[in-house]
Amino acid sequence: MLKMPTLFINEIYFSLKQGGLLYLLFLYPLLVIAIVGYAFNAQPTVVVPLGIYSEDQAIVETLSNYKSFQIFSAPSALEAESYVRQGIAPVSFIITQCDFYYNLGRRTDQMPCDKRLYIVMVQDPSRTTEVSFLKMLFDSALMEQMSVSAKEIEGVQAKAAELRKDLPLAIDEISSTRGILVSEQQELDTVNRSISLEEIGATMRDIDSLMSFMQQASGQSASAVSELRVLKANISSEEASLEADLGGFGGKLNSIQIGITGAEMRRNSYSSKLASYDARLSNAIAYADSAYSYASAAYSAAPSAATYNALSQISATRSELYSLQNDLRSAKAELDSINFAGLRQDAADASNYVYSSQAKASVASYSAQQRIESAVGSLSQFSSASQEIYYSLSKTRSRASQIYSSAEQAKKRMGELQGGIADAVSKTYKTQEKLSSSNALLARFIAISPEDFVPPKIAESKFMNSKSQLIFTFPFLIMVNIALFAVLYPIVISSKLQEHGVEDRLRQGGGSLSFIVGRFAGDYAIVAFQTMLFFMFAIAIFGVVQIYTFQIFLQAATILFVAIPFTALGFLLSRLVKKVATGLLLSLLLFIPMVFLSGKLLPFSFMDLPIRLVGSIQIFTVSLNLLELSFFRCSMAWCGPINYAAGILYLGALSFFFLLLSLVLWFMNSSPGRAQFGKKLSG
Amino acid sequence: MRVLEVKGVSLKFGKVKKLDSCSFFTKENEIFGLLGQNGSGKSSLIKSLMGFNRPYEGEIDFSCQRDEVGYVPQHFAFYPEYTVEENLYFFRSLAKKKRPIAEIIRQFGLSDYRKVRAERLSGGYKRLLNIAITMVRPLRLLILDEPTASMDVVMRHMIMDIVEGIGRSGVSVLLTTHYMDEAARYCSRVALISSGKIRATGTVDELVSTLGGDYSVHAKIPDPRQLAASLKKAGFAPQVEGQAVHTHIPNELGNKGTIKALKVYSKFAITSLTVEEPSLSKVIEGLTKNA
Repeated sequence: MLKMPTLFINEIYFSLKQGGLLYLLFLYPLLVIAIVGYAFNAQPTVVVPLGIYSEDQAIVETLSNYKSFQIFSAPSALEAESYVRQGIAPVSFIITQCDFYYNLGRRTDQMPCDKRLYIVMVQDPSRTTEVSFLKMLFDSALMEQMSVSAKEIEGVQAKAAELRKDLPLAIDEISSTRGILVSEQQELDTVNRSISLEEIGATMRDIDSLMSFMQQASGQSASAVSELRVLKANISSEEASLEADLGGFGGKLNSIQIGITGAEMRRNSYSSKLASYDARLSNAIAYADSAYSYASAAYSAAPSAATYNALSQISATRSELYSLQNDLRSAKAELDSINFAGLRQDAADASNYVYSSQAKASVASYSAQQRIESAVGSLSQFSSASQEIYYSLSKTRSRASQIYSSAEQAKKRMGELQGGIADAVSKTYKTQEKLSSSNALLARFIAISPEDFVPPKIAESKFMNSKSQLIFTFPFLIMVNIALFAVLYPIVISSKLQEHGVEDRLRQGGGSLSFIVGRFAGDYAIVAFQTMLFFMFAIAIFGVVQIYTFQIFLQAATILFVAIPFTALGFLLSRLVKKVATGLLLSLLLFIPMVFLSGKLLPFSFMDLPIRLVGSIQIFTVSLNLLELSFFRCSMAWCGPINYAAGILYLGALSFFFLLLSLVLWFMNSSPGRAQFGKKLSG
Repeated sequence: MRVLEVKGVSLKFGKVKKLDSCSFFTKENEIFGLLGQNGSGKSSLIKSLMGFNRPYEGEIDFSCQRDEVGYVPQHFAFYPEYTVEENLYFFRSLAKKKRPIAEIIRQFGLSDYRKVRAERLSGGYKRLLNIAITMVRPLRLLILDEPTASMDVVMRHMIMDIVEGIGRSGVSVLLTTHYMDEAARYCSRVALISSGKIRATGTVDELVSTLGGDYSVHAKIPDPRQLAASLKKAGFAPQVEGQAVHTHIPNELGNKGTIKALKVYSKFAITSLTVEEPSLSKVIEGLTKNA
C-alpha cells in the first residue's frame, strides 16, 4: 500500500513528460469549445415545417412565434397526420392532455393525469435528420419555456416567503401568550391551594377546644384558690406547733449545758483523787524497791531457797505496783483529756441554732402565707382573664364561621376561572398547530422547484439567438470530452508503458492493489484536471450562462464524479491492450456507440426497445443525465435528488466494478504461475 | 547451492509446442547460459520462469523469494522520458529492500549519464540502464534475456564484464544468448536449447569435447593430388574438391593429429590454409541438425 503514492505521483509525472499532453490538456478544450460555441451562436438558417394539432391553443400560438418552426396548425389529429403523408411537414405533433402515458414506447392507458405534456409524434421516416433536429429544438424550447414560467412561480414563491415571515412571529406570540396563561393558571392554582377550607375548619375546631380549655382553667383556678387557702391555714398551725417544739428543745439544751458543767467539776475531783493514789503508789513502789534491794542482798549473802522465793515475791509485787501505777496514770490522763468546754460550746451552739431556726420557721411560714395569698390573687385574676378570653374566643369563632363560608364561595369561583384558562390554553395549542401547519405548507410551497409547478407551455423563446443556447448542449459537450479523453487517456498511457516494457517491470515491483489504485488515481487526476479546464474555459472565456441559480460547485462536483467511471473503464481496457494503436481503435469503438446511444444524436424514440434499453442504462447516458440534472435541476428525463442519488450509486458501482476487474486482470498477469519461491533445493 | 530448479516445463501456444519438458538448474556464484538459435525457445522459457507465460506442465522452484529474483527483458524496459537517475529512483522506490543509487551508478559506469534522458543514451548504455534498474534491490538470481543482443563487440564485453562481476558477488546469473563465444568465455555452465527442448547441459569444455565435432584442415593448392597422396600416406583420409583439400581429424586424435596433418601440409606450396577446431557453434549446429 505504501507504493500507492509513489505510483500515483509517477503516473502524473510520466503524463507531464508526454509532449502531446499539452495539446490534450489545454488546446483541445479551447478548440472544441471555440468551434462549438461559434456554431451555436450563429443565427438560425433552417426553418423546419411542423404540423401540429393541440388541444391547448397556447402551445400552437407560442410555436408560431418561434423562428425555427414553420407551423401548420391542424384542426384535427387526422389532419395533422395527413401533413406528414402529403410531405408538407416532416413531423406533426398531436398534443393531447392526459390521454395516455408514453413511456419507453409503450402506450399505457389509465395512467393518472399529471402535469406532463404527452405528445404523439407523427413523422416522415425519410426525413429523420430534420425530425431529429426538430425534436431536439422542441425539447430545448420546452425546457427554456419551463424556466421562464418557473421564474413567474419564483415571484409567487417570493411573495409567499414574504407573507410567511410574519407567521413565525404570530406563532411565537401565541406561544408566549399561552405561557402567560399557563403561569397565571398556575398562580391561581397556588392561591386556590393556599385557601384551605380544611385549615379554617381546623382553626375553628382549635378555637372550640381552646374555649373549653379556658372554661376548665377558670374552674380549676377557683378550686386552686380554695385549696391554697386551706394550705395557708395549715401552715399557720404547723408554724405554731414547730415553734413550741423548738422552744422545748432549746430548754433541754440549756439544762444539758448545766449538766456538762457539773460533770466537769466531778471529773476534776476524780482527777485529784487519782493523783493522790499515784503518789501513794509511788511510795509503795519505793518500799518495794528497797525490799527488793534488801532481799537481793540477803540472797547474795546467803543464797537459799527461802531467800530466793522471798526475792521472787518481792520482784513480782514490785512489777504489779509498776503496772498498777501505769494503769492509774493512763486513766487519769484519759479523764483529764475530756474537753468539757467544747461540749458546752456545742450545746450552746445547738441552742443558738434552735432559736434561730425557730425565727426562720416563723419568717418562712409568714412568707409562704404571703405567697399563697399572692397566688390566690393571681389565680383570681387568671380566672377573670379566662372568662374574658373565653368571650373573645367566642367572637373569633363566629368570625371564623363567616370566613369559612366566604372561602367556600371563593374556591368555587376560582375553580370556574381555572377551567376557563385551561380552555384558553388548549385553544392556543390548536391555533398554533394550525399556524404551524400553514407555515409548513407555505415552506413546502416555497421549497418546491418552480418548474415542478409549471405545466409545459411554450411561450416566446430566444433559443438559438443567444449564448444561453450553449447551456443545453454544454453537458453533452462535456460528456463527449470526458468519454473520449477519460477512456482514451489511461489506454494510451498504459499501452505506451507496455510498449516501453515498463509494465513488466511494474508487475515485478508493485503490489496489485497499490498498482491499480495508485495508477488509476494518477490517470484520474489528469482527466479531472483536463475536464475542469474544459468546464472553466467554457464559463470564463465563452460565457456559458445558466438557466437557474448559479450552482457551479454542484456542477463541478458532478463533472468530476462522472469522469471516474469513464477513467475506470479506460483503465480496465488498458489492461487488455498492449499497443497504442490498438488502444486508440478500441477507444473509438466504444466512444461512437456510447455517444450515438445517448439519445442526443438520435432520439430514443427512434430506437428499437432493446437498443433503447441498452442506451438508457449505458454509462454515457446515465452520466449525461446526471450532468444535465446538475445543470438544469430537472431535465426532461431525470428529475429530483432520488434520480441524482441513483445515478451516483449506479456510476459508483460501475467504477468499483471496473477497478475490481482491473485488479483481477492485473493479479492474474502478475501471479508467478507455476513458480514456487522459498523452496529448499538440494545441492 | 541451487537457486533455481526447472523440471519438465512444457509450454504450448495453441497447438504449437514452444517448450518441451525442459529441465535445468542454476547455482550460486555461477553464470548459467541458455544457448540456442533465434526462435529456439530461450525467451519463452525465461518468460515462463517469470510467470509471463503459463506452462501447462512442469515445476519451477526458487530457493529465494520472489523479490530476490531480477528479470532483465530483451527490450528496453524503462521510462525513455526520464533521466537515468529518475528511472533508478522510481524503480528503487517500488522495491522492499533497496541498494544505494550511487553504488549502482558506479557499478554500471553511468556516472556521466545521471541527468541524461534515457531515450538519448546510446544502445549500449540503454542496455546497461536496463540491467541497472533490475539491480536496484539486492538479488539472489538475475535473469537476463539476450543482454548483449545487437551490441558491438566492445559494448558486449563491457556488459558481460559487469554481469560477470555480479555473478562473482554471489548472485546466480541466468542469461540467454546466441553468441557462442560469449557463452564460452563467461558461462560456468550452459544448457543448449533447440526447438523448445534442452538438448544438452554441462560445462563448455564438456560439451565441446563431447559434441563439438572434429578438427579439420582446409587448404588450397595448385596440385592437390600430391598433397592428398602424402596425407593418405600419413594415415589421414583427405577429400579433394578442385584445388581444395579437406582433411578431417577425428576428435580423439585432438591437437596432436592436427599438428601431424599440418606437418604434411607444410611440405607443399599451399595458397591458403584454414584450421577448424571443435566449438559450441558446432555443438549447436550438430544438435539442430539432429533435432
